Amino acid sequence: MSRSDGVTNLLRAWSAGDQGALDRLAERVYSELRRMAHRYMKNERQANTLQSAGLVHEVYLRLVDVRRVEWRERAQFYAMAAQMMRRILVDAARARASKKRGGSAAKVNIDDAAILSPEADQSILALHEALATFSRLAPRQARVVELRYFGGLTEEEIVAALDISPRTVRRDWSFAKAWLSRELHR
Amino acid sequence: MNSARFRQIETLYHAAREAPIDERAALLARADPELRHEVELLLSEQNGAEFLNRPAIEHAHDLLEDVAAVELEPGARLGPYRIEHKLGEGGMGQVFRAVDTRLDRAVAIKITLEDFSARFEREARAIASLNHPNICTLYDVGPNYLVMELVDGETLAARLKRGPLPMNTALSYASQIAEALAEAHARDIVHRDLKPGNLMVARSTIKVLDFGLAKSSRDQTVTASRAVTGTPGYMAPEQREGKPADARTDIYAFGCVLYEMLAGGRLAFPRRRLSSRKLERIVSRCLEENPGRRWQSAAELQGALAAIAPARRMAPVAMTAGVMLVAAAAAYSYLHQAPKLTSTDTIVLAEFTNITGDPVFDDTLRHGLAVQLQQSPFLSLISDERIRRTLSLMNQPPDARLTPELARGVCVRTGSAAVLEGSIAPLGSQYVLGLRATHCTSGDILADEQAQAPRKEEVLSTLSQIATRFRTRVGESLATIEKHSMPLAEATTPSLEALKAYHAAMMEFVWPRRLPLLQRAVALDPEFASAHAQVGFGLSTMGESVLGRQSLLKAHHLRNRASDVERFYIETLYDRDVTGNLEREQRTLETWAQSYPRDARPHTLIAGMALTSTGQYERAIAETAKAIALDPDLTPAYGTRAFNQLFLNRLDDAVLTVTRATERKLERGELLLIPYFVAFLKGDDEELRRTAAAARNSPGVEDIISHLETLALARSARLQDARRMSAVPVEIAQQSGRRERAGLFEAGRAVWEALYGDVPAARQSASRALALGTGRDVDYAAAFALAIAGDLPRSRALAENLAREFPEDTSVQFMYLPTLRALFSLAADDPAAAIQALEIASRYDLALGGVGFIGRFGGLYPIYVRGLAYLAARQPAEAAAEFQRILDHRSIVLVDPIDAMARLQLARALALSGDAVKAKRAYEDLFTLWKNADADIRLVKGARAQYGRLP
Repeated sequence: MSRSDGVTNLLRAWSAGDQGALDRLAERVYSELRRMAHRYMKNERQANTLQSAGLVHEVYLRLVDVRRVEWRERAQFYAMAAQMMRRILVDAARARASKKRGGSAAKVNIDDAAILSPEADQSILALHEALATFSRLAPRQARVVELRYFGGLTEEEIVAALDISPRTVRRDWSFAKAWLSRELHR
Repeated sequence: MNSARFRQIETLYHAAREAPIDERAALLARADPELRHEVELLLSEQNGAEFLNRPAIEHAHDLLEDVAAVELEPGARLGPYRIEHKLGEGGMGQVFRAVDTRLDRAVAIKITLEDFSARFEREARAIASLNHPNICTLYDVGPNYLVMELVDGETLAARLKRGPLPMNTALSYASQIAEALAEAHARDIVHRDLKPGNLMVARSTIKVLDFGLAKSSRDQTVTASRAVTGTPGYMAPEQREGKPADARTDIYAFGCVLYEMLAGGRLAFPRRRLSSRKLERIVSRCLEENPGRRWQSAAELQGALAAIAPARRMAPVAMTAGVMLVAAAAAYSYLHQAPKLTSTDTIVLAEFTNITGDPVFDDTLRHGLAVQLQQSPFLSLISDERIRRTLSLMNQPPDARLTPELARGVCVRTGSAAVLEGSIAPLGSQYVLGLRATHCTSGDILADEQAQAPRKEEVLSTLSQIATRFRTRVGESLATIEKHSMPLAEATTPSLEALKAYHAAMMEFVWPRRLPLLQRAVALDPEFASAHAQVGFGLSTMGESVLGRQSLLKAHHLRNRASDVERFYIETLYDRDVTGNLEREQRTLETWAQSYPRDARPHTLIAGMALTSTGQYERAIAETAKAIALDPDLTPAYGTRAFNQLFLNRLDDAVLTVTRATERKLERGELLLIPYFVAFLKGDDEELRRTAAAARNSPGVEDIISHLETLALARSARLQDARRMSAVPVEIAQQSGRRERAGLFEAGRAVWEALYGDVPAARQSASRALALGTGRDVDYAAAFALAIAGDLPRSRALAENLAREFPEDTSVQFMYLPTLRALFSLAADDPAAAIQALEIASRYDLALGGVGFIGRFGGLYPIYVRGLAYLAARQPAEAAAEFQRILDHRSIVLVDPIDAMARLQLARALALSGDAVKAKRAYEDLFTLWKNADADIRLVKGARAQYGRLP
């Protein structure tokens, strides 16, 4: 049985209701996703040619036999992957933040623009917290944000993943953005 | 926050957001104040959450970098600056106290969280030129830091926590802040985030800080992607809606600050009135919802502040009869001052009462008077479109004669100040002209003039005399009158008949109906400069540049016969359509806007060809906002605005603009293409079909929609269908005699035939196009097609012609010729030269050029060719980046088949650079687009084969 057969079967089993399959599936997907995310983050700085949904889509293509899988199963895969992306990024951000706190103070030249780089870790962590609070009030809207911001899913993919209308997706996204933006700028 | 409350907020938020603008205000007003406040704050966040729009992973690229983290500790050095200690933290970054070791001077360094864009840096340097005692000086700018004057004191916010300021102090601070604003505004710099937190108090001086969020209203700028456009509590209503800010936005914020200084507490609605009536009046006017009703400049504000005498210590005084008398006398004199119009007042020009029985005077006198009065920068006439609309609101037919009664009704409804009534009556063989201005709410007569004209031929010149006297009477300074005065006859035309034809022409909405009338006017008066100019403009807009140029040259030659305003217009068109010098056109329009701040036209004109075809989309949007604010019934402004929003992929905004225009019954012309493009970008096939059908039914757009559909078919590689369809727009254009337009459509075909590799078809099509009608854009498109198809001699000849004929033309010199030259170099196997040739075009990389503006294809071609050059130079990574740029700007490229080509080349470039996975995906995307491709296209087959060969 080929690699993609294994994952495909697990995905289909999970989609059919087999919770045990989920654990094994998650393990496979998570490790693959993490590996690719790290490669992306390390290498892709210069030629940022990757489209937004690229990463999740790529993992999907690598792991799953697309011919044997239906749209609903694909949607579930994406939803799961988005949650994992969030975990991966938050973990990386936390690691980075703690590294900085204990890190040495390098004496740097002002010409070296690289050092004064964006503190992306701050924004990802901040959003993660805000999103957690937000999800208590508006769970569906929070899912939309997770899928879109962390997972990079498109509107259609979110529609499929959550089984809601495109209009709802758009509205939820608009509202969530406004809310979160306000929370983050307090 | 409980969930019920949350639901309320969410519901109201969506309702308000989805309601049309007028209803939104009403909806919000009906809610309880707290709820309303919450929702308004959320609505204003629309423009603040930019970072959420890109997936997290794209922000996270350095999360795993092993770069040593930088901690700015005391003693650390940043170039010549030695860090002392942290002063504080703000929304944008951290502020440190430091010492400039070269000058031994203490400074403040603000280090921001994200790098500035190159534009922001350039514009920050402009801010650095501000040198004023009340502005915190900016010394230096870097990739993500600002070095500023260190102010030893506290923020006004901190000071106000301890309570309100004594009136004299508040007045002093207010004057200083107004001075600072005046200085910045004079250099076109708007602060956009004025608030007590951005004001530093040091003893008796106050300084304005943090122009870091300021935006030069001259340039299109981009703030750091996460920064919001101002603090909600101090944001002017137009800012909250995401509209661009100008001086009056700062004035709104100033009002909030002034209030807070005096009242001690933050501004809340409804607010307590201030005890000083003069200050209350000043603050009220700052806080007007409509920017047009606020103080229009910091200078005006300074004047008002200066008029307030500092408070003297009040000695307790018993109310005596003497005091009462004095008060009464003051009231009396106030009432009997002749009311004058101020610079924010608008007037309604009623119909001339014509009892001569001679119909030649109908309409023409009113029109002539309007022209005369419009020369004044201080008088603002309500436009005819607005009058029509108001009449229909009054349940009157839109073409009802504007009798004095109706005019008064219009005056009141539009919030205007006065009605102007004119009359002409016979007196033997002479004519008596009369003009009366009445204040429409008070009924006071502002002016009442009469004059006699001995002969019919002198009626117009008499009218201009009256108009001048009128302008004096209602409070304009003589200096302005002299500067902006031209007797009527030379200003437009001495021929009443010609004026009538011109007037009738300007009443028409579409060019096919307008042109014949204008041509009649010109036939009646061959020296009628403005009519020539309008003819030229119309012809050019419809794609007949060669014919249009002739008329514009004529108008330019006759320009001294026109009034100032008309001269601006003629010079604008001369540069737009004759020389093509868009930079000079822009400057003319800026001067026009400055000299006539109430005139909406320069704003809408600049947003058109000048800014849109040079890729300054953001600024174009800002200009259309100004135009619409000045004249909400100015049709072209909506179209221009919607297109620029479309190009920036702000689809919701574009749709909203169309809705706004529709509400005012102004949906015409190319505005109808917006829904089509939005459906296209959203991938909604059903909607695409529907909107195309709707557009096809509209005269004036039916040719272009067929042209777009042809391009869309070509993009999908359905070339047989495309070829069939391509005849349609050409024919339609030919039928209405628009040869150059037909040529341009045909040239579009030549381009895609060439791109798909059908050399004979491309060459034939190019020949046909050039035979149909030559012009700058047709020649370029044909030359491009021929160069791609390998027919270099013909292409070169066309290029040389373009270079010779259009030495000043921006599109030609900075977009067309570099692209063609690059293609020639590539044909000669010199990719380095090709890249070099395109250097000069890089400033206009995202521009449309004339060809894109009119023909809706050809945009971003320089980027495409640069990509080809990189491929030829064996730099596939750079090539991929270029092609990706084209894909990243789908909303500019739209249906242009170059989109498909860019995808193909991207896939090739990715494959060449070794990234098989991404290359495959790029091919897959392309094949989705090409799923219904014709079976016999070599390029398509080749692409599939290349895909198959990938590992």
